[in-house]
Amino acid sequence: MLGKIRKKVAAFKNKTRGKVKKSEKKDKKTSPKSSSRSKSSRVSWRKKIVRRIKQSSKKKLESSSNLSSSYKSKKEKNVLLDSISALVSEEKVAFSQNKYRLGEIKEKESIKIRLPQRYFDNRIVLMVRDPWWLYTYWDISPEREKDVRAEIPLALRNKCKRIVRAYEVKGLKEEVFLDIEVENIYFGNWYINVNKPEAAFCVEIGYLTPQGRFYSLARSNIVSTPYFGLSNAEEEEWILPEEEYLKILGLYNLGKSSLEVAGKIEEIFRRQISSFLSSSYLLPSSNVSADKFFFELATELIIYGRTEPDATLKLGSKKVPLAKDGTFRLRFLLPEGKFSFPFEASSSSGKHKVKVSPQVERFTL
Amino acid sequence: MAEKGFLSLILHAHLPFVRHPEYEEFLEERWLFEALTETYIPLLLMMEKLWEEGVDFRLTMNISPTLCSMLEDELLQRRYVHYLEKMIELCEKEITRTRYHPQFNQLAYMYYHIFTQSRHTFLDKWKKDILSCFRTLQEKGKLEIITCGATHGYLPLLAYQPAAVRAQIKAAVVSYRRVFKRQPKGIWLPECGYFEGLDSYLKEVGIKYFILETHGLLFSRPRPKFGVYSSYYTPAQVAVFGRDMETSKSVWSAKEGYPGDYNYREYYRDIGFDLDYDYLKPYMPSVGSRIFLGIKYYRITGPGKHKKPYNQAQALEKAAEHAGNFMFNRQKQIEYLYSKLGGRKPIIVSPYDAELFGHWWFEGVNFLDFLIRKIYYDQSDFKLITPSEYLRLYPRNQKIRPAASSWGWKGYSEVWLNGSNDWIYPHLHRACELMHTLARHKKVSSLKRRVLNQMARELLLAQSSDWPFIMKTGTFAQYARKRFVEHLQNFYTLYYQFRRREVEEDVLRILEDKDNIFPGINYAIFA
Repeated sequence: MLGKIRKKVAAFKNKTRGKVKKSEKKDKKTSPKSSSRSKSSRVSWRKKIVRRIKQSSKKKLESSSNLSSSYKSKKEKNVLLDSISALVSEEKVAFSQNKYRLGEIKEKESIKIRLPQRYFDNRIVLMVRDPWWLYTYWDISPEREKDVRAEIPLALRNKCKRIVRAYEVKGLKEEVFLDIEVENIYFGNWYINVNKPEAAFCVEIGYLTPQGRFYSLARSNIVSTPYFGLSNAEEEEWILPEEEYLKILGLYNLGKSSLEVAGKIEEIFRRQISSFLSSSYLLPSSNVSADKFFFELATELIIYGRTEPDATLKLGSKKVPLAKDGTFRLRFLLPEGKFSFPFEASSSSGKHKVKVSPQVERFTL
Repeated sequence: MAEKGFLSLILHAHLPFVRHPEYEEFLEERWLFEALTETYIPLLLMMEKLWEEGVDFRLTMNISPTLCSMLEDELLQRRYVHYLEKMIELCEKEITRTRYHPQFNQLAYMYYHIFTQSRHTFLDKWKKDILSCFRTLQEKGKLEIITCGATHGYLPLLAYQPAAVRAQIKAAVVSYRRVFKRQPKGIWLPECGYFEGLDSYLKEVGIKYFILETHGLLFSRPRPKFGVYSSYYTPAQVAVFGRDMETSKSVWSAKEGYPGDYNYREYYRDIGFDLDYDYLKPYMPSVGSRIFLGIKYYRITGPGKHKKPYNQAQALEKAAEHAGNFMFNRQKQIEYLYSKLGGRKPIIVSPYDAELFGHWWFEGVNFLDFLIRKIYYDQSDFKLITPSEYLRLYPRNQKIRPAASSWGWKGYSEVWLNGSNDWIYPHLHRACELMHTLARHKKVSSLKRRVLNQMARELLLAQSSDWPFIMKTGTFAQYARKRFVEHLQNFYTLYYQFRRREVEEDVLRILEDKDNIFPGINYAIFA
């Protein structure tokens, strides 16, 4: 079974190598005039994907026609081919790295595997970490940045701040909630401390002029932070009295004023939920508290020897297994005390018997 | 006398999909083998015995789709038997080695018994088919099996793309139907992760209920009338239950919880680290580092590092005592709640990781066994129940909007979204978007269909919450990173072939053989 797999892996590796080259050629040949850009390496991953899909559907239509004839001039064709091969070689890198995927056990090689570092798809995404924190990441293409930058009056271009702007979304209205200056406008991420449960947010990334005008490069999805704290009791008519309610939650002696109570509940829950474990199975393997210096010692006794391979060897009443060459090796944990090891070897005929009984004592001074 | 309330014990059994046919042995596959020996098999044996002896009980258990896939996988089954044989051999050596140390010797026999018993049960009695045992218990009405996310994807962080959430849930339900031959009633949300709106996805596939972490339910809008001691409906009409804090603390908490009792077996003292390396070498991974072998001779003893030998009889006595204590506390709790809830019988929902019982808490399965028997024989104040039975009893419930939450550290998403693992999300989002686009292709050749299906598998595997979790906790971080990248790498490899309309069947087959999860998958789940 394993041999088979290994063969397959080897076959796969060879194929992979072979195919990459082939595909490269093929792509050059068949890719239609789908693109007008020049710096393909910077084209967004997403566009590439969409284009690929378009390409493949186009291919179907055009498969019978001679594609190369559709290029206007040789020069244009070369530019195009360059860009496409750049695209393919990028994929080739990713693809040829796959040979490590099913390969040898060496961990080092696995590090070589890389996903695209960037996608260049002009996107900023917003995610919720908890009632107080959001997380955002963005990936903006230089083209997009250039386009937006071009809109900013020339005099201000170098005076702009690069910011992530968070809005609080209230129904149809949006209010600027927080601006965060960022280093890299193209690519990055940020944890945003909104400190506001039960609210909706979205973010934009862009340039802020000294006059306060904002030029957006991309806008995120809208997210809501979780509710935190007990809902006001008034909403339900036949609910338990506040005190009783808290009691059934196992919360007693919380304080008198409702503000105090709310604060305490929050504190209790923050403490409570941060002490819980999850997915215990995969927890790291040492939670033993830092302790005083320690030293442990144990002794083991090894008894070994040799007899005729077909002899019978016994320790006390128990048979001791012999290796094919008649040797044996026994290993015992040796606690404190005096021990006797009564061995008896007898020949296969039963004629000869030899007894050896070593005595061992372990004691600690 | 009629009961005044109910206890619902929910065990969440999940392991990430770890299967490496390309290697002769693979360290992380041991997670499954250890869980089988220490948790799944003992639990099944316990339930079978309870059934045979006519002890009426109810347990609810989530067996995650990835775990199902591994349990029914022939390669892993074979490897498990091989693992058992190795362990039995080691136990034999241990029996000899400890011959002059009666306490350890007795324990060596205990482990010998555990491993031989596991082999006998697994191989001779159940013919390697663990899932059938679970199914049978469900059909007998004692065990309610619920589903989970397909690969335990943490849904609140996948929520950016509805397609990702939908695929996780749909693939899980399809897998459940195939394995358990019926529609799942409930779902264990991976890591109890809930976000507002998730209920409508559950509704789409006919899920009737799910369980939330305590604060997720308590912080609902409007306020839940009965705290966590009742069922409720979400806006999408799916029932929801909340986790009880008291019962979770008494078992989970390292300090106050039962498992920390000094008589119980110490998990962190293992012969894998205690004994001479040369002696252990044949049982250690070939890469050369020491690992836990699962043979442990000491009890917790106390807070210090000095440990005393384990005494099984004493430990079991303690487990029985703890079971009695647990039951007594529930009687008091239920009596009190019953008096406050205006005639409604409360339900106490106590979910735990299944692997806590047996694997971490060695005596945990015995504890459950004692507890179930005591509840049945020794009292009549409350009964065990499954969430779906409770809903049959109380079909009318208050409607609430639960709060986004999880049962992870700090109660929200930080475990799966922090500096150690946030880099995975841009990749996951793009890959899912691509898959979503591809899922609209309806008329494709059977070969291309296979490619798309395998892409769906790879993406689901990349979505598993286990990878960011492990990246955060550190021990196997390298492996988790590798797995995450590998699955997306496979995903794009296949995509590349798909796009070129030139599928290499060899490559496809290798991946199909390797990541063979969800045999009947249909990539359209990403539509």
